[in-house]
Amino acid sequence: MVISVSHLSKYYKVHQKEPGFVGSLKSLVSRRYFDSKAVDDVSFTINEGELIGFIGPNGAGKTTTLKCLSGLLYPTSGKVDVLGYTPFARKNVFLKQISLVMGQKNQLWWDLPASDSFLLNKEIYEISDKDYNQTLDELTTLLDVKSVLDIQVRKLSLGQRMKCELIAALLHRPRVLFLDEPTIGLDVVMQQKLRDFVKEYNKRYNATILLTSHYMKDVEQLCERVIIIDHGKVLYDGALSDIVKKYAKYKTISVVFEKEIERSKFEKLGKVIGVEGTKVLLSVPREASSKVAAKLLDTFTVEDLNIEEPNIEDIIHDVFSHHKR
Amino acid sequence: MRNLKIILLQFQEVIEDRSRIFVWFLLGIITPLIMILFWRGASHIPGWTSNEITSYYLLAIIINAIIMCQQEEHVGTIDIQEGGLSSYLLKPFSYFWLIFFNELAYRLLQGILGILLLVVFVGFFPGLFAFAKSPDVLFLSVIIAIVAFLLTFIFKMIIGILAFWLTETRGAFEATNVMIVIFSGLLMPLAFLPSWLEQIVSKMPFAYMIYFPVIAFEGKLTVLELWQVLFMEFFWLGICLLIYKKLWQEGIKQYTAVGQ
Repeated sequence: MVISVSHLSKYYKVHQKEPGFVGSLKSLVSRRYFDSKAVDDVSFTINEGELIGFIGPNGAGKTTTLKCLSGLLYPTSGKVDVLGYTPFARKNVFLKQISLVMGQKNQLWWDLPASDSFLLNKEIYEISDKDYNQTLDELTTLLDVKSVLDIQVRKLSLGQRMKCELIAALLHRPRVLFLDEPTIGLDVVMQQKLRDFVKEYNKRYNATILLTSHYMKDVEQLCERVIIIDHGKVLYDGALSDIVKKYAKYKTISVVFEKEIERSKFEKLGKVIGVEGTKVLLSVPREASSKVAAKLLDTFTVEDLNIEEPNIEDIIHDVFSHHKR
Repeated sequence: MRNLKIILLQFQEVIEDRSRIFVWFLLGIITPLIMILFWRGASHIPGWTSNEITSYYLLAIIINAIIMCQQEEHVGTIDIQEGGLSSYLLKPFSYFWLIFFNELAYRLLQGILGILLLVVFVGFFPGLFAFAKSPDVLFLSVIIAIVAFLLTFIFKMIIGILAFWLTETRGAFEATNVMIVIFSGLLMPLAFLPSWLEQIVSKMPFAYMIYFPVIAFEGKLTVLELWQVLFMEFFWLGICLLIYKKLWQEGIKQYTAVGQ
């Protein structure tokens, strides 16, 4: 087991001010604070080599959890163990084995070429010349950025910069990698390249990767297991494919009849969600879907018929809105 | 009515940062006060010729450039409040030392410029400079200047990491700079202060940042006094280190890594 989190909580103290001028005058004299529960009693474990998607809406507590795991934040309560270390102690042996990459912010020197920042990291992480050259060569080839390493970082495009950030974060070949919104702000082609890279890094070094993203595509393509979090609590932890089974109780049958058919004739087969000329959309319980399809084909003259899984994004959206209620 | 509402909202923004209100008030009254003190003192200061006063200010400019660290804003605003600290904390290298090396590079560059400036001054106005002649005094003065650099560094680190607790740091930074300008001797030699005030101020850490290094180089201190200055510098260095360590330990738990 590489990561173990048990009953982790992190509260932030927030200063509350009543709106308006009188509220301001009051806050001049005395201020009221309350605890905002960013992460509230979260537990999970992760094994070596797993690539896990951490999903949830804005403010769900994903980034806070990653920050606790990488030792940036002091947990309010609970126990965190990564590679056998307590992250907040930030021992050098621990830091040399992990990396946290955050989409929006950078560690590269803005006014110098990326290669200078890499050299600084080489010294800081005490990477040998041989390892440095080999890793740098592998990473720059994989990410296709060899040509921009000697250009001032502020002159690079967002995509190029993001790739250089990744290289800087991976030069010491971390065994555990935390990726916070790695594809944010990138175009579709660049997102795909980055995904391929993350998958390759995971396979090549058997690295444990925990990734947060707003883009379901990132998670669908990369992660077998997902942890869904909202309002600081874990809602789901398991295989991505099981979410569909667990939360999507219905499938959608879309059928195109040869000619228009009276509604009453197919109404009893499932819940009608749409009729558009000869095209009809029916929502049916998962287990009954093939039976209903067979019946449709038997009873009517059908031009086209599809059984569709609901969109994973919609399912997760459902999970969140259920949780709110 | 609309304007009144907008004015009130502006007030709200100003009130939100309590420390700033206080500091701006202080800033306003302090400069005239200092001027009064200066002109009262300047007319009759025993032991200070006008050449010595001139060279005091020239040396103060140079020593200030070389010794006075300026990292507090970077540490407080960019690193702690805007979250830049995160990328340092993730590295297996101490943040303190990384900032120290960065500041050292700055000070050395400033030092080269400062020394060039000094050479130009001395070249043009050879008679104007009162400078220590004895190698013992010069040697001790260099040591005093180096320790003064360390002292300002730690002191500014303390001010910088106050940002762990303060949401608005400008007030604290401004206040510190005001204190330094007045009590470090940057505005005028501390000897010009009324003697009761000079007694107090010369025990405070600020005096060891500019004033004492400058008068040491000027040759106004005996070897014994130089050793006393060094002793006091180490005393404050120790105190500041302890404070810094304690504050860092507590502050880092408050760190929220926002903006990241």
